[in-house]
Amino acid sequence: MFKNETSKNVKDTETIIGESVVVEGDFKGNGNIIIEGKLNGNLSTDGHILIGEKAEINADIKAGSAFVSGQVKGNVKINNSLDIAKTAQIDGDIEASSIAMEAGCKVNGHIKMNGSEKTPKNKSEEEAVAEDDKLEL
Amino acid sequence: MYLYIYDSCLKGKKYKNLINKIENKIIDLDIKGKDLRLNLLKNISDFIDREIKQGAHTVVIIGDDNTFSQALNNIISKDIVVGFIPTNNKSVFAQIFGIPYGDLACDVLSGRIIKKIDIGKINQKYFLHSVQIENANDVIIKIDNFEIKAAADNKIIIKNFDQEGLIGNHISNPTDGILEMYIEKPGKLFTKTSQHSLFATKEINISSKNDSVPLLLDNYQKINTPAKISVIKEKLQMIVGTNRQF
Repeated sequence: MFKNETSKNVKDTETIIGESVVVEGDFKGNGNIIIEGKLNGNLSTDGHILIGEKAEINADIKAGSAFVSGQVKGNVKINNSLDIAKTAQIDGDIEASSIAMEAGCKVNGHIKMNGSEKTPKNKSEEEAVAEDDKLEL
Repeated sequence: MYLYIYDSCLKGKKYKNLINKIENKIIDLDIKGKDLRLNLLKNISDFIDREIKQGAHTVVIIGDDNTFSQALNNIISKDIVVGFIPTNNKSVFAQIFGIPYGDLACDVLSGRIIKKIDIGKINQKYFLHSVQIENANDVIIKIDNFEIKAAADNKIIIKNFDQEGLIGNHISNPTDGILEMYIEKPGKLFTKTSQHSLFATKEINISSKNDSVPLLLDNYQKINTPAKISVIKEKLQMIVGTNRQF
């Protein structure tokens, strides 16, 4: 689930922010977005956002769905599913309909799902993951 | 009536047989018209205006991609259909439009399948295919409410259309009203997606921090920053073949 995400849907992607690029400002899109570089400001799309391992995001994020494996400083609000890989670090509150977290990911903030709210006890290690390597909330 | 605009280089002996074949085919298909050599560039616009008043409905450009791009700025504002007869078999435009090389292109002309094609505009000039910046050093790109800074050695390519996607088979379609801007890291030609960037947009503003930066239009003409780049949807009425790539 987490391993193949980086090459997914490139053909249908409207925007790719590569490693050598820095984007500053309010970035609004309708389609899918891949971010491997840096973004400072705000980020929103109705589509899917893929945040790569080397990405550095200083922005509040709103999207239809998202996969995060890089660094995010800001609040993340996702309408549908949010997948957080083991390499991800999110410093901010996250909200989504469903959240999948891989063991090793770091989340420093509140988690809200369908109106319920949870605060991770240990923000750097999702220890609740016992057997199948990830936490499905 | 047809107007035929020849590239000045076609006067040479090298092209004599090819031009004879083309002209014979034009006669056979009964699509004759007036001829003009492109070295009279300054007068092309007025010439076309006069001929339109006298009933001309189609301009046909005979030459290569550079000839086509060069003539484009003189004909784009006219209410006239445009045809193309490529005189070499490496024409990217011909491949995209589905037009065969040499006299076979005359069959496409007489077939008159007309499609409306988007045209790129940069300041007061037009381009069909692309705008390139060889080195992104000092370059500031603005789209909507955000700004993009690329690494100094990156190359920037803004495409109106292309038959091959530079990233993940992402194709630039000449009828979608959208420009694709690629930012490419040199030396690793699109082998790794994470090294490259793609932005799809209708308008791009490019400026530079210090000295002006050159932009290359359709691989033949240079202009300098600052530049406002946009796309005009379905501006060009183009005769295309059945093998067109859009």
